[in-house]
Parts: sequence; structure tokens; C-alpha cells
Amino acid sequence: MAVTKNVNEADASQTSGNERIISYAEAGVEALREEMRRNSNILYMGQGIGPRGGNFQQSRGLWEEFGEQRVRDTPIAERGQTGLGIGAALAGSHPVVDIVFLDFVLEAICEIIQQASTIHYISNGTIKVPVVVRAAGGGVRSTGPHHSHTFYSFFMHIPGLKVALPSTPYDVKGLLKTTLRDENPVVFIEHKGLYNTTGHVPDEEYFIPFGKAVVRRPGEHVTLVALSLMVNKALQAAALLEKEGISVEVIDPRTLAPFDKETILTSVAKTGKLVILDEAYAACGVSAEIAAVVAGEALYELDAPIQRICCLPAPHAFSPSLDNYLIPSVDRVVSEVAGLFGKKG
Amino acid sequence: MEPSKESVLSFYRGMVEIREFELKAREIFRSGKMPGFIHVYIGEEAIATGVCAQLKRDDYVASTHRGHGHALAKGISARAVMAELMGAEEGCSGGRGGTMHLYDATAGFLGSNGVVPPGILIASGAALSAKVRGSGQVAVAFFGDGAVNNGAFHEGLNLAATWNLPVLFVCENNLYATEMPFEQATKNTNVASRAAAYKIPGVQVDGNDVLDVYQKTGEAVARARRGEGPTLLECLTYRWYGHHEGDPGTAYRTKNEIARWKANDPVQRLRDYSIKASLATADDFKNIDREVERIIQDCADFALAGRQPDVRTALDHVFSN
Amino acid sequence: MSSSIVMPQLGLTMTEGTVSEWLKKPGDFVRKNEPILMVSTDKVEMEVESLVEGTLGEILVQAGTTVPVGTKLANLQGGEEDDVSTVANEQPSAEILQEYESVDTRVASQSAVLPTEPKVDSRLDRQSVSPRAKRLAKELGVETANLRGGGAHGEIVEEDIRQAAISQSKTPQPNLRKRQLIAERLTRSIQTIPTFSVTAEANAEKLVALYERFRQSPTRDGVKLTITDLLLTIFADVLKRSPELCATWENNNEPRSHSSIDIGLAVATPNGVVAPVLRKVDALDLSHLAIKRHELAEKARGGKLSLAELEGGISTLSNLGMYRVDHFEALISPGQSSILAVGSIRKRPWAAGTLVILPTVILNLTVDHRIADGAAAAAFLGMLVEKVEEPSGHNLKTFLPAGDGANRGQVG
Repeated sequence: MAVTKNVNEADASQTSGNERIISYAEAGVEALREEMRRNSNILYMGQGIGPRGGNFQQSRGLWEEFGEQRVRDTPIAERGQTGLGIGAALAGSHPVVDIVFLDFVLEAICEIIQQASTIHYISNGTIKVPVVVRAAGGGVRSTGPHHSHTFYSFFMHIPGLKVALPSTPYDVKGLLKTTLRDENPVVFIEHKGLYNTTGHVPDEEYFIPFGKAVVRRPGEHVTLVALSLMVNKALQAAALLEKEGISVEVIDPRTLAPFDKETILTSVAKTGKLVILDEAYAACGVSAEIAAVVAGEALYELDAPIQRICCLPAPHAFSPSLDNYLIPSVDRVVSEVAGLFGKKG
Repeated sequence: MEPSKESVLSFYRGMVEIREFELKAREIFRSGKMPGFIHVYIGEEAIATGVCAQLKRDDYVASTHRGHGHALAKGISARAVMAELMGAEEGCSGGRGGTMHLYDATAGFLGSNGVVPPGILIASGAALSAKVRGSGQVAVAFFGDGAVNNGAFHEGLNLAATWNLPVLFVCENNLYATEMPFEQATKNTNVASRAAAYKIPGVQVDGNDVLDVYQKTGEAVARARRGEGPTLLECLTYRWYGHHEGDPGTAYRTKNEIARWKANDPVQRLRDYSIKASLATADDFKNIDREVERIIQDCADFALAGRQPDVRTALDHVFSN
Repeated sequence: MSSSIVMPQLGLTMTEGTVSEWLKKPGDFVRKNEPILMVSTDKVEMEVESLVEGTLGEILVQAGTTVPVGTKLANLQGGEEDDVSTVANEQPSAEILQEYESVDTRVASQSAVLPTEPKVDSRLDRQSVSPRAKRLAKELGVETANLRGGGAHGEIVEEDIRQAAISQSKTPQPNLRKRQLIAERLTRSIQTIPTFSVTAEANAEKLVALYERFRQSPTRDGVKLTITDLLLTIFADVLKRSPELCATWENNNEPRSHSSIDIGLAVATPNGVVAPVLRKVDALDLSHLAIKRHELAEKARGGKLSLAELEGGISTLSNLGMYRVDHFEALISPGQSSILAVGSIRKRPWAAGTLVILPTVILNLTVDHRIADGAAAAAFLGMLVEKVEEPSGHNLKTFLPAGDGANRGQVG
């Protein structure tokens, strides 16, 4: 598909007088609105996404503009709505199935993995599956054990699925527009803690390709790969570590499938040290995958063992003290990175 | 209303083609040449034939693991299906799907499926697409008695009913799901009655009478095309053989029961009825028999001579470009 | 409690040594028998081990400095009191000498020193080296075996390699070192030994015939006779009969007689010429001589000669006959009193009544004038020529002893 323009990444993180600052949620809605205007085959369905505009305001205004044929509230039937979305995709529509909370995608995972990810391949390339499964993951303010999951690794694991993990408003819009022009099944995972964050989003149209990571902060001493909301924590930690003379390079992969490993490998060749910060669990997580890739392809660049900072292995406890302890905190990041250099942090 | 000679011969031909195809597939399987395992449709031919006769080529069908009959009835060539069973690249799925994953977009065939309940959702989704596009297409989901107690049945029928989708839910109730008798799987063995829970029409059909299937399907399709939403059709039938090749089907069924249903052979019934009603002669049927035999032999030869896909294509089509 | 590291006496003739490289830094913990520095002498370069356990204190003699044997090089804290005086003056016994092998034979896999601060992964019995550091060490030619690890957990990391590379680059490279050793020796030779040469051309027909005959039957290990072997035998035989040439001029201004006919053999190696010494050549029969010659030449080329194999000798044979050299003069090895330089055997015109063409060889004997005058040298050369032209004697009767291939007798 044609990518019309890639706005300079550097612009995205700066703010100056005329630049447009919008929220992460608004950025997603803009992408949807623009693409739904352009392509009448794009449908949108999920719980509470119609008149209510979505639990996180992630679909606000769509029902008003595009009507109830294209924008449908569903009953609590994630498997049903996802299966229907896939069926509609096979018949030429481009549905977005909004699961709202990533946790509930488990109800639909059979359809996503058994059907959506396989059909193009097993039909020998004759049938396409342009379906988008959209959901918000992550914990924020004690969302608790059934509303805090981040298992994007399940989808990264499966061939035939693309997976997006945007961390900024700029990324949400660029990646969602690319998604809606992609004829493949895409799992588009946002973070509920990011919906109210704001950032610069250009006026003019732009797309972000999948498989292109971004260096959020250049550094010399250690490569810190962070996912989703953890990117912000990584940047905060990097600022603190700078004061101790440790220069941290923060990398945001932005998409998990396709995955940009080259940016990380190049960075590790420079720094010799890799730390991966992931809100999900460590075992078999994306952090394990990244560590394996780097150990496999850049072993002789590593000057220290690879570190992973992940959610501790327990269900997401409700109590704030436990919640903040289990999920990686800025303090934990600072301390573990400093530890690589023999410092206390 | 009485059918014409043309239509009975057409129905006959359709059913015999399925039957001969399945018998030939069994034969090849038992010779050890066929990879995987197959589930044959023998005994249930009237349903696929009768339903698909009411569908246009661009109407949609979602099928099951026991889908050869649906595939043939919907218009996929016998050669392409048999080749697919052999995993050959000449198959309708390029050898990548096999018996349980037959696809043909040109015939609206959205896949036979290794998992049955999702077919209900896929057909409903295709119907949703058709409705939004205003194309007038309808979709059919085939499934067995085994699927009606699954969550997908409930979620799919509910959504299709709520959104008034142009879809037919055709339950091929052959009284057994693998080896489990239907009456042991549920308290309510009247599948058609479940339609009431979703406030859609539920119709019981003699699944071994192709004319009954054809007529009741016609009514449901008309309803759907008029925008009046889905119908649940419960077609009562029986499979002659086991759940899959290798299962004799006698461990959980009595010989008497099998004999009784074999005597209720849909092919035989149509022939007897047509001859009795002077719609066609015995010779007409014999001619068709001979011709079908020839066609099936040809497709077996074609399939056995097929090529395995080149391994260099193994990673093709994971994504569409 | 402290003790000292001193410049040890590593060879009989060693009077001074050069500190090539310190393997430990001040503050490093040193175990007993652990290598602590590299020393080079006029002949070889080798590791010196600490005789006691302790922590290395201040280094008094830096790398690159040459000092007399016995000079204090550094302090060692915490070890037992060493008797410095005995170390300095004592002649090392033969066993100690045998222990010191040349630096190339040492396998650099000594167990690592555990630094007293950050802990090392106790699952490993060698120090951890990060993959990056390992790669870099290979690229830069840095030995990691005795480096101290600066990583957060005591592992050797990139920075340690970079530092080591800088300090190692200040040490002369082995090849250069060896070249410097040779330069020192030979300069000393020419500066301290008054020499003169006598030359003669000998009819080599019979020598060649003997060579061709004996060459047919190699030893059990496949060692074949060479012209050098024949020459050594003849040389030893003549030396035995020439007391004057069997003497060397000592530091105390007196000649010393030698009863053991030990002759060195010049061997070209990738790192320069080396002359291992064959002991009691007169007592060796031809096949044993050939075997011993082969063994020493191999060791020389592989840089695996021990100090003992390089010490002593009355004279040396240098054969450049395999090259297009008719005649040359060689330099006497300090400590010896002569050197026999042999050119190539070629067909040359020879006056024997009439003019004939036959194989001849030109022998040049360079002699230390302090132990022999012209006449003695000339007489010696005459005997040598006679023997070359008419090779005889029980040593030259057969190559292989009757009925056997290689009966390897050890001749010290």
C-alpha cells in the first residue's frame, strides 16, 4: 500500500507554538474518521462504542457520523462479535472489532488465532482477512486482575497476525491509518493509561509503517527497550540516570509484528548493554523474545547479561501498594539499570 | 408443487456425485495414499444438495469438517476437491488446507472448518457484510448437532437475530456428535425449538428428502433476501459410516439403527419417488450413475497424479501484500 | 611481613635480565607459583612465578628495563620472609632449570585470581569475560587470562580489554623481542671475541655417496639421514682429537677444557636463528644423532626449546648448503670458541692430475684466537677435510644399528 508521507519523527516529540496537541484517544478517533470517510467498507463494532463513544472515548463521534449500520454496539459476546467481524472481512468488509479491555480478547482468541490468522494462508492466498481487533491493555490505578492484562505476546507469537503497540498520539494515528489500509488481520493494542496523554499530531495526513521502531531518546551506555506505557517510565528513568552519568538510549518498537530488530541490534552494538522494560510478565513474554533475538544475533556485542524488567509473576493485585509494586516502577527501572554499572541507583 | 424432471435429475445427479465422490475418497484413504483423515458425508447428501440448489454462486457458505458434500454442492469442482484431499497444489486450497479447510472465494465458499461453531459466526459475519453493502447476498452456516450447545451457536444466532442478518442456520442433526448421542449432550433435543429463544423461525426438515430440504430452504432464503432475517433449519438425517474414516461407527450405534437409516437412503428415495411419479425412468438414473462414475474416476486419477506444493512456497501467503 | 620479587637467575650464563611485562598490578593478590611477570634473557623470554603468596606492592623496576640478576623488582606484602640473598646468589639446580620452559609452551590457562572486592560468578572456575570483551580481546590480540575484571560483578568487560591493549602495546612484540636478543648476542660476540677464519674446499664425492646410501633407510619414525648429520659426526670426531679447539675462553681470563663434545646446530626459525646444542655428539651413533637432530630442529622451529637445550656447547655447525651459497663466515656464539660454516655441495672443477668436475664443499672455520692460533686451526681444518674426503670410522659404517630402526637413547 502506498505510504503518502512520513512526517519527521523529531517533530513529533517537540512542541512549539503552532503545533496541534491532541490526546491519544482523539488521535485514534481521527484515524478512524478519516479512513471510514474514505472507505465505506470499514465497519466498527464493540460494546458501548456507538452513542456512548466507547469506554475510553476511543470511538467518539463515529456513530453520529457513520450511523448504526456501520457502527454497531454489540452485546457482551466477544467471541460472537469477533467471529462476525472475521466473517464480514472474508466477504469484503473491513471491520474493526473493539474488544475494549484486552483481557476480554481471551473470549475471542480462538477466532483470532484459528480463523483470522490462518485463512489467507490455507486458502492459498485467495481469500483475505482484513479485520482489526482493537483493545486497550495495561494496568492503571488498580484496574485489578481482570482488567489489567498485557498479553500482546500471544499475538506476536502467531504467524499471520500483525500487532501494533503505539505509545503516543502521533503513533496511534499513524499506525491506525496504516492498519485500516492493510488487508491483513491486525491486533491493535493501546493502553488505557495512555488515552488521556497528549502529544503533537500533524494536520497533514501521514502514515507510520509497521516494523519501524523509533529511538525516543539517544544514549551511549545502555539500550533500554520499552513497550507501550512503559516508554514513558523509561524516559523518566533515563532522565534520572543521566544525572548519575549513565546515558540511556530508549527504543520504542511501536509494532511487535512485524518487529524492527535492526534498530535494537544497532543500538546494542553501540552500548553493549540491553535492558527490556515490559509491563507484561517475563516468562515467554515479548521481553524474552527480544532477549533471544539479541543474544542470537549480537552476542559478541554484549558486555553484560541482558536484563528484563517486567511485571512480577502474580495476578494483578487490587491494592495500590501491591499494584505499584508488581508493575515496574520508575524507581525499579533506575535501580536495575544503575546496577548494571555497579551503582546503587 | 411437483418438481420437474429436470430438477429431480439435477438433484439426483448432485447427490450421486457426492456419494460417489465420498466412496472414492474412502477407497483412496484406505489404500493408504491419502494424508490426514477424512469425515465422509454419505447418507446426508440431500441436505447439501437441497440447500445449495437455492443459492446463487455469490451467496456464502460456511461449512464443517464433514464438508466435501457442501463444497461439491456449492460448485467447487470435484477435481479440485479431490486434489485438495491429497494435499496437492492443484487442490482448491493449493494443498494447504486439506479436507477440513476447503476454500473457494469464486464460489462463495468461506471454508470448511476444523472447528465447527466458528462457521456459524463466519456465515453471520458474511451476512452482515452483505447487509451493510446492500448486495442482496445471503449466507448459510452448516453445522451439526454437536455445535448447538456451544457458545458460538448462542452468540452467533443472537447477533444474527438482533441485527436481522440474511443468514440461514442449517443444523445437520445426525443424532451423534463424534460418539456422543445427542440426547446425552442436552436436555432439549429439539434443535428447531431453540430458534424461539432468539425469536427467529425454527423449522424441522426431513433431511433425507431432498425435495423437502429444497422447499424449506427456499422459504428461508426468500425471507432472508426480503430482509426478514435468519432462520434455523433443523435437518434430520444420519451418517452411514463412522465419525471419521477409522471409526466404524458401531461402538455407540446399534446395527439396527444403522440399517433402519440406510433403508431411508435419500438417493434411493428420490429415485423411487421420481419413477413412481413418472418424472423420470430407471434408465435416466442409470445414465447419470454411469456418467458420475466416470467423472469421479477422472477426478481420482487427477488427484493421484497431483503435485505436492514446492517447499519454497512454504512461507508464502502468511500475509497478503 | 613482606618479601621481594627479584630478578632470578634463569640460566647458567645469565647475568642480567629484562622485565618484559608485569602480569599483575600493585594491589593484586598473588598465589604461590602464580606467574607474576615476564622476563627476557639473551636467549629466551619466560614467565616468572611468585614463590610465595601475597599482595603485590610497589613495582620498582618497570617493564622494558634491564637489571642484573638478583635486583629487587617489587615488594610482596603478606608473604613469608624470603631470604633475598640466597635467591640472588644460588645457582638454580637442574630441576628448576628444567621447569622453566619457553614462553610459547606455556598454556595460558592458569586459574584466575579472585579480586578481593566484587564477587565473581562462583559457578565458574575461571573468570567471566563478557562476549563483547572476548571478541575485542581477539581482535586486539589481548590475553584475558590474567586481567582483572572491572565489570559490576567482577567480570572482564570491554573497558578492561581496551586498557590492557594500551598497556600491552607498550611492550615490545615477541618477534621484535627475539630480534633484539639476537642482536645483543651477536654484537657481544663480535665485540668480545677476537676471531680469525680458515677456509678449505673438500672433495665431497665420497661424502655424497655415503649420504645417498644411508638415506635409503630411514629410522622407524621416518627420520632420514642428512648431510648435516654426517658433518656433525665428522666434526665431533675431529674435535675429540683436538684438545686445543675443545676449550673455551672464560670470563676469568682462562681457557677451560671440555670433555663433553657438545656441538650446537644453527636452525632458522620464523623468529630468527636459534642454535640448540647436541650433547656428546661423539658418543652418538648416526641414527641416534639424526633423530636427536630432527627433534631439536622441530622444537626450535616451534619455539619450544628449553633453556637447557640452548646452554653450553663448544662449537656450532652452521650449514647453508641448502641455499646457493658457496662459502660464508659465521659469528661465534658467546660462550663457545668456534663455528663451522658449510656452503653448498656443488659440482666444481677439481685438479686431480687432470681437471675434473666433481662435487665439492667449502668449509670455513672461524676460531676464537684466544684459545687457538692459526696453525692449530689450520691443522684442525686439515683433519676435517681429510675426514670429509674419506669418511671412515665406526660411527660412519652404518646408518641404522643392525636389525633395528629407532632405538632412542636419551643422551643428555
